[in-house]
Amino acid sequence: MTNAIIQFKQVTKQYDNDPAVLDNVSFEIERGKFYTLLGPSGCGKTTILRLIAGFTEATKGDIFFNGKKINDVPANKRQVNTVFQDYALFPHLNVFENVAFGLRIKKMKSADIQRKVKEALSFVNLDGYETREIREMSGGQRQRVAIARAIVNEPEVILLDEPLSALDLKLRTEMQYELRELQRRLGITFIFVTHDQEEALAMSDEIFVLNKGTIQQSGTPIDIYDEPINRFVADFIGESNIVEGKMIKDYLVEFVGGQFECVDRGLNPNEAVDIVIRPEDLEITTLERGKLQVKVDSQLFRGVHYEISCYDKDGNEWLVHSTRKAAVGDEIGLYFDPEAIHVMRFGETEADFDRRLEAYSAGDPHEQ
Amino acid sequence: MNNKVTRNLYLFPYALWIVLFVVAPLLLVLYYSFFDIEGHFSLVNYKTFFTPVYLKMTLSSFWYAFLITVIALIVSYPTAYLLTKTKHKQLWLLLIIVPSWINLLLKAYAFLGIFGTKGIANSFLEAVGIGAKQILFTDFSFVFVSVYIFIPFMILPIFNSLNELNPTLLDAANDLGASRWITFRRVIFPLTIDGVKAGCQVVFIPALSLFMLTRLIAGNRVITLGTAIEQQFLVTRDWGMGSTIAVFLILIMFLIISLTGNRKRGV
Repeated sequence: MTNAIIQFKQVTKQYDNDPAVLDNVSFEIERGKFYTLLGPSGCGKTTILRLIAGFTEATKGDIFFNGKKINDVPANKRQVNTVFQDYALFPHLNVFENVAFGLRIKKMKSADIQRKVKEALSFVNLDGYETREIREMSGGQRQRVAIARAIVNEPEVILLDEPLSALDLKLRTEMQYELRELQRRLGITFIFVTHDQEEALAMSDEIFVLNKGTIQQSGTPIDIYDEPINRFVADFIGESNIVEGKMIKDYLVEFVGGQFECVDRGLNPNEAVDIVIRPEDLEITTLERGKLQVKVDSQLFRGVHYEISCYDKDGNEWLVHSTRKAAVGDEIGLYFDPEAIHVMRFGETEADFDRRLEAYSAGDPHEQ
Repeated sequence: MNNKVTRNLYLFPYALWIVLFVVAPLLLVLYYSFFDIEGHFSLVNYKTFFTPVYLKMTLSSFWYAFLITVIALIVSYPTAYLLTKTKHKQLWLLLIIVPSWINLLLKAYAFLGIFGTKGIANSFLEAVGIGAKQILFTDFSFVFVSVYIFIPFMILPIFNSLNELNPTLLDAANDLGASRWITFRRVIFPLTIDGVKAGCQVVFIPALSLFMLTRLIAGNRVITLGTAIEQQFLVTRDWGMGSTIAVFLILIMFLIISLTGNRKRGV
């Protein structure tokens, strides 16, 4: 609680009579961590960023920064800096002046500005680029200038609005490492907005998954990947096989016509649920040994593994990631451990979900 | 080869037009400027131009053109800025541009009515209690009407450059601590300076050679280079002197264009 730098309390953002862009959102951001707001376009993630930066005002609710309410503090008085999606570098200024922009406004001494700008540029590996014009810089370099322009002001929080989306794949991966490394060295809070789930999983300490103006789930990348709270999160983060099922009783679930042992309990008997099994948790085996019998429909070589698409007799698709090859048209068996089955209740709140998962680890006989 | 021929064929009307109606008249003007009123070849016109009478006229031309440009800029910039913020900006822009389609003479006569002794302006002044004033045939009315006529030409380029401005840049400036005024001074204005330059060019240069308004609105109290040329050709019938003034006017225009010209645009 004391380590929270930003708090949202029941914040709603609504334009005119349209549906709310952000609907009663509350969360806390802790100092010095790497946060990612993840979601499809229009989910409200950029709105959260703009609310923190002060470019837009909340319709309802309060926003706190270091314990102080900042709803009415204008953007130019806030201790945050933003790295924009299109970088928003000033085209009429060179690299040095772009980075120095914030310092000049603070009327800092010229010698200090020189030193700080040099430091910031060297932090992003752009030594010697001071006198370059912006139009002479490549996309990746502009990105770094934008980051230098933000960090030179020594803000407590840096907001990054899909800063990597304009870069090509290789450069993007490189910048992911660099950003993560930069955040560790600086030790300041990063709030990173993206719609790219791999980026989010790779970089974050903490992820907020958003959809339709609400936070669906928050947690570490591993938590969110392993225990998605609902169909949306399971589908959005990584590849998933999702089927409808029924919880027969504790530790026993029924789906696609079979009953399977699982590790979930505490649900109502015969409750309808969604079942998630990740493709990498499915193992190809013989028809007799398999818990599921499916027919191979198509197969793609993905380098690290084969991506095999199968259909069971009810027409459900099962995606399998396997290092073993299958033959298209073959009938095969699929095997999975009880732990591979993730049971998701309909409309479960995040708090209830967390409580249920905690209960499993406390004295669960099935836990290894 | 064939392509080249057709391209030249297409260019021909344009080239002919330029030669007949731009280059030839300019050369004629230059040619006439070397003849005195008796028709003898001489440089006397050039000598006359450098006498105080004409120098003063040049200076006053510059002064009025400058005044008109500055006032037009002061009115147009905020207007253009507000236009970019409105919902139906193209419609508002059209409404501002429409008056420039009306003939200049008609507009001048309209102002004769408005500013006349019994015009709307004076009725208003009387109603307010200030009393009727001589508005027509003053420096004020001349500058006012000229500014009114040139405003659309100033607004258009400024509006375009403001409209092209990336709005995220304003967020970025704000994010880095800039107040609205600093954002304007350090980001908005420097990035729209091209539009301002273009606007000043299209106002200042025609303003230098205004002649109809000087007679109708300023009642010949304001004599600019344009008026002088007109008088030399039509009243004094000294074509040589008129041409000489025209030569200087043309030189001055080229000078202004090259001084305010944008290097980047030439590439």
